[in-house]
Amino acid sequence: MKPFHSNARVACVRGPIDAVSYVHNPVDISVGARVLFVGTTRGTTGGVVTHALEYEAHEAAAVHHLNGLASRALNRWSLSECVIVHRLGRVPVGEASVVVCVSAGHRAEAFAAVEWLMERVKDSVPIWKCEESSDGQRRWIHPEGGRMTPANSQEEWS
Amino acid sequence: MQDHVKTVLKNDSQADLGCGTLVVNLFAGLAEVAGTRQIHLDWKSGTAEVLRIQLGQICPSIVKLLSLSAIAIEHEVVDDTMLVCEGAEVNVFPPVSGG
Repeated sequence: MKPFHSNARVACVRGPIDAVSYVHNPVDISVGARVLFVGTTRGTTGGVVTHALEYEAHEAAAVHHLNGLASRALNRWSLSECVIVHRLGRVPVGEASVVVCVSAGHRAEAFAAVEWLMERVKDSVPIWKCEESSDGQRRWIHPEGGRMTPANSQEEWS
Repeated sequence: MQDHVKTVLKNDSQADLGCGTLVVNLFAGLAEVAGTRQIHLDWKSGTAEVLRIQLGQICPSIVKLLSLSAIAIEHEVVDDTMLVCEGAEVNVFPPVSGG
């Protein structure tokens, strides 16, 4: 297995994420675009009021797969840097659950990389969310499209 | 690959080897439905498909979600024809929903 890309920075954290802190990178004259995506807990889904989301992960496997995704994005879009931080545990409405920040030569690559990374975070990283509604009901989210496969789990980052 | 694994299974079965224990870790809704985060199985060797069948027999409540779930050895999701050896770290990942 290839080593992960040296400019991949990923983490799972259990407290609030300071999203903006990930934009303050060292000066890199090849960078013309930085895109920061912040995924937050939405207060309603399909008319149901959400009180909070609770995230669970196989943490070591999640970090492993996040590193793989970041490495693939770095190579595919020639990024200068790729950061993915996912929060675990309870995330109240309005707070960040995931942050993705990439630096690229041009905005097209940066936007494309972030879009791709978020799709893959949702379908190929062992992290799960449980919705806690305002009436105290809890419901794990297990979409049929979220089944991990050897293909989406083990793709090389070449 | 599949034929090879089946042959290995058959040979193992005929050899009447002693059983060890396999610890299977469950996550999220799968653990909630099962009422436990770990299932301990008597196991010597078999494919992920055989493991899937045994888990369903031991814990019928998870059969539906198990059919949508992936079996991983440590970090990596494996095909159902992959041989699972005694002592491996086995994780069953239900459909993921990060982000």
